[in-house]
Amino acid sequence: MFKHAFIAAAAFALSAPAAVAQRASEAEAFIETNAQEVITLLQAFGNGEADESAVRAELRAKVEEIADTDRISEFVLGRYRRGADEGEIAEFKDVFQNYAISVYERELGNYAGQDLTVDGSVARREDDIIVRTTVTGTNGGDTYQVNWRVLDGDAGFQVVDVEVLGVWLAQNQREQITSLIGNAGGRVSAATDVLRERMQTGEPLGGEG
Amino acid sequence: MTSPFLSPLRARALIASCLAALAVSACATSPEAREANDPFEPLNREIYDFNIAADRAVLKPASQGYRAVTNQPVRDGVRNFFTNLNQPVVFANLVLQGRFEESLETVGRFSVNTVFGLGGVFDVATMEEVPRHETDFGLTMARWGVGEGPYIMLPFLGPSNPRDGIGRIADRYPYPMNWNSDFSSSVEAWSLRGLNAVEFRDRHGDAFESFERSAIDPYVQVRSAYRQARRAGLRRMELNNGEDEDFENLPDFD
Repeated sequence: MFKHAFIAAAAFALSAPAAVAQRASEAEAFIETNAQEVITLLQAFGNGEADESAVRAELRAKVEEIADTDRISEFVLGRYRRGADEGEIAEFKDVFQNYAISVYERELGNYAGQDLTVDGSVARREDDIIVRTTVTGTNGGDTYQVNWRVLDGDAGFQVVDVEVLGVWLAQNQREQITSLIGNAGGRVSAATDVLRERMQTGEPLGGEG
Repeated sequence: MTSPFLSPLRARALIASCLAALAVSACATSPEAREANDPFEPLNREIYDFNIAADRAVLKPASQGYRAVTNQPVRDGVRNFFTNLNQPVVFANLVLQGRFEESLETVGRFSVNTVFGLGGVFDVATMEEVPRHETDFGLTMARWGVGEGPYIMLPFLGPSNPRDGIGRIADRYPYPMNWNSDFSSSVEAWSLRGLNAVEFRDRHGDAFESFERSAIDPYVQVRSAYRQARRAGLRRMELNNGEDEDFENLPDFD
């Protein structure tokens, strides 16, 4: 019996790294395929082959598909997620997801004409993988590293955070959101109100345009 | 005549009053600010607003003018020149950090670009695949175990902390424009510093605007981005030359 258990454990130990490597490779393909689709879409717009509203709609659908905005909106609440009123949380998540999608949609537009190359990946766990890419700017512009944090959940691979020039976007958003909530005495609705106003006016808190 | 130096008693009184002022300032901020190690947040926010106003009034229009009168090869040449000029600073810090292989690469890069790249205008070293490194005395002190201290926003210079602020002063010494004190204070030197600032603003213009568009609270956004970017620099410093990061210290999303 011990012999069988030992063989099973050894087989698992040997197969686990292979499974992780396989998932990491799939995560790389996920980023490469979706990035290429976004670049092709933006190029079609740049060449005048697609109109702006169609591109916007398609880009939004793409962001909703590849980014786990539900998980991101829980993450950015930090410690205020626990103990807050469920109604307030639901309202925040709804507004934040719209805000996040509009930001990703607009900022992805900056990748038009750029080239993205997958350099490799680092598996933190089998279901938590960092895909490393290099983005080369237009007209011989700067080359910079962009890292994508991809989690493997019920909906398959989805991006939860992006690191550009050493800054992780969702972590950065979490500091901004928790600072707002903290300064409002722990009221989650304070952040919801600011985000709503931000989307209506296009102005950041205290911004002058 | 009053002595320019403080007596020990007066110095102690001054330090005590400064500490008291800092304590009051710290108490005046929110628990979030204290948790973010930003005890001077109200003052920092004022300086941040001033910096943004100065950028909009001077640096941004200057960078737009610079872009209007230059083409891409000229802008590349200017950028290469200033990057090359900073290589002695990078070299000195790499030596102080004990990164000798990278320091030799930096010497090679500086020599090749200065001689064959016409004073650094052409980046011949990159064409020859000589790696480029970036570091500063703030990171050197971090390597030596010096903590970053509280967050501070410097007028004109932007986000910092005591360690990085001191680092900026120390980095002036190996910088070639400061090697000759007569030249350092000349109109030519100040013109070059101005051009350096305008070139930097122009090069990062798209990133600044993209950053601004996605801000919820721009002040906290900059604070968080500065800290993250500096910590990323620290992590890179701890890796061996060419080694990849393991991303061990990321927060959980569950």
